[in-house]
Amino acid sequence: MSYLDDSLRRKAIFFTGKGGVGKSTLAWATALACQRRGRKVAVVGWQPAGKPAPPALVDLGIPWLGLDTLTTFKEYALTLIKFERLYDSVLDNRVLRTFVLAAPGLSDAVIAGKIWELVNRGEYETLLIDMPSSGHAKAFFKSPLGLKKIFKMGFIARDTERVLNLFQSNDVRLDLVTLPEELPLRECQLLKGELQALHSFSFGYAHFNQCLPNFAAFEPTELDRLEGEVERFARAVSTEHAEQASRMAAHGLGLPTVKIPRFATAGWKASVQSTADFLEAL
Amino acid sequence: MKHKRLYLVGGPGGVGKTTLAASLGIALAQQGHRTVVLTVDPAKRLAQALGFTGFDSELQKIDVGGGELWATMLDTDHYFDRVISKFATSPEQRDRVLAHPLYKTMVENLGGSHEYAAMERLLEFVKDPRYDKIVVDTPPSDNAAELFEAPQRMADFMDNSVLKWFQGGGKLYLQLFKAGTKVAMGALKLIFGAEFLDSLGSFLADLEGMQAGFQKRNLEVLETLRSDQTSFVMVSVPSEARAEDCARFREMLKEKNIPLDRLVLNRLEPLPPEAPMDLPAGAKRLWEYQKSLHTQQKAWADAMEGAAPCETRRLYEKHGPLHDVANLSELGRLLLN
Repeated sequence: MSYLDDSLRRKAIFFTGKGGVGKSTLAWATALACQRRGRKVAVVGWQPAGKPAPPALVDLGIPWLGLDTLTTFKEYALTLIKFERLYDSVLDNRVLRTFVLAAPGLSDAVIAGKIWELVNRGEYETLLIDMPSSGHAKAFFKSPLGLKKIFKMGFIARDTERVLNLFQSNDVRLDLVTLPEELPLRECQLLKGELQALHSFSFGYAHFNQCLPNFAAFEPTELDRLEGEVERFARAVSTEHAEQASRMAAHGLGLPTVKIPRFATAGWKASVQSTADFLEAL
Repeated sequence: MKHKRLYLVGGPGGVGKTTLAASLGIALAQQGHRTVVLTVDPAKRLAQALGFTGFDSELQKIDVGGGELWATMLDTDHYFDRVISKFATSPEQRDRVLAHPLYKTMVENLGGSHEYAAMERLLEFVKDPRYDKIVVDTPPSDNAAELFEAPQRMADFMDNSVLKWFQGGGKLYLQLFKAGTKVAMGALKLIFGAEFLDSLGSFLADLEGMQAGFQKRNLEVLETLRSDQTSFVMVSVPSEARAEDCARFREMLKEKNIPLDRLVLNRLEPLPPEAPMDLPAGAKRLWEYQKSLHTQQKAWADAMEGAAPCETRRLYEKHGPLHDVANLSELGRLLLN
């Protein structure tokens, strides 16, 4: 099954990996590719609710949902308490805000619960979730396990069970994003191991982002025809291309891989569009 | 920048922060300063280049050919136990807190616990007169505010009013809400379950008396960050997405009144060498590509530099071995001057 076909049949895809590897670009590009096929999509990120999408990406016309803890907690509490005025008068105070932000794992759990709700409400057919970087992502996926231990009763306990089922559902896919460089590759392997130890996720694809394009590889006969600075530059790039390939092979993540070339495009939006074109053609 | 004592190297992940922090450390040590580099996750290859033998949290002396350089890696998992031991008012309190079922969950899950640990450790070095220069490779965070807010959040969590609120009474502010508190507790019971609230209540009670330590620490951290002895070096790569990150980061620093000392734009693609007209077709494509990468990046680098309230350094991508002491030292001097 192609990358796009697989994506189209999921209700949610989590993109995870260390910071700066292109998780956002991948999430937005996958959303764009799915939207072009008529799928109702939204990109989800850890940003203050109500804040607009990244300025560069606003006019892609893809719905964007920022989730922050306090807004999400309030929404959640209101489903239980029903009366907004009651919430505003007794729960919306500095002490509780502090508690919600600082209580162990609560913040992540509240957001996980929201994602469960979004998936089940079905307003969007596929959610593309742009995770925070590795450390926080691990804490996020771990949060229901911690909560399961401390919340044995109450609504949180019930909802924790739902979230755990969601994480392990076949409707949901977890993709890893990394760069074809040694340290990011190594870290991504570690991250996968740690995530695997938490839940039985359905892992989807390993995205190697910003690869050197194929035309960066030269035949030895081509190199021999060059000289001086030009030859040195071509050799260095060609060697880097070969090393990149062997690094990716050596640090395989045991998943189908998507090697996304680095696009020489003018801005973020253009790079999302080029990535979407690339993903569609896979 | 040369005359500061504490250097905080920050920015998003994957931009070369650890390498730059190490090179700053080497350059400072070679200039005769007794320097310590605190790293949160050392890249293995870098550690090897520096002569790190292991990955423990002990201080290790690193041979950089003259000068004195020490390095340590922060063991965030165990660091919190130390913090609790330090702030506990008695050994009994320490044991009670460490053994509380909520404690471990809190340390593992509390957002920003790595950030808190990093701040706490750096303060120890700042207070230690044996070090002339301190370089901190800050934990990567896409939301950089977390790094600076961690001590505040910890102090807030430990705040007396939170404790009193959960114990149902106390100060004037709370008396106003007293009637509300009962209702609120009812609502919270519904959400969290009574068992959790009991457990939390006992945990907060166990922490009683330690709040002052955390609050004092929070103020010290802020004071240190704002000090004119502190240099904040932001590392990034030139692109539109990172330019947006940088803008957010700058705003946050401004809000917190922390000056930015230097912006380092890393991993710039060089312009390819002038090529002859009869370049083979394959190579021609690469040349065009490389040129346009360079042009695009340069435009973002210019924009980021223009928006930065401080000096900027540009570092070009180098193929080949970077991680040896001589290369790193050269890089460090480039940053300092």
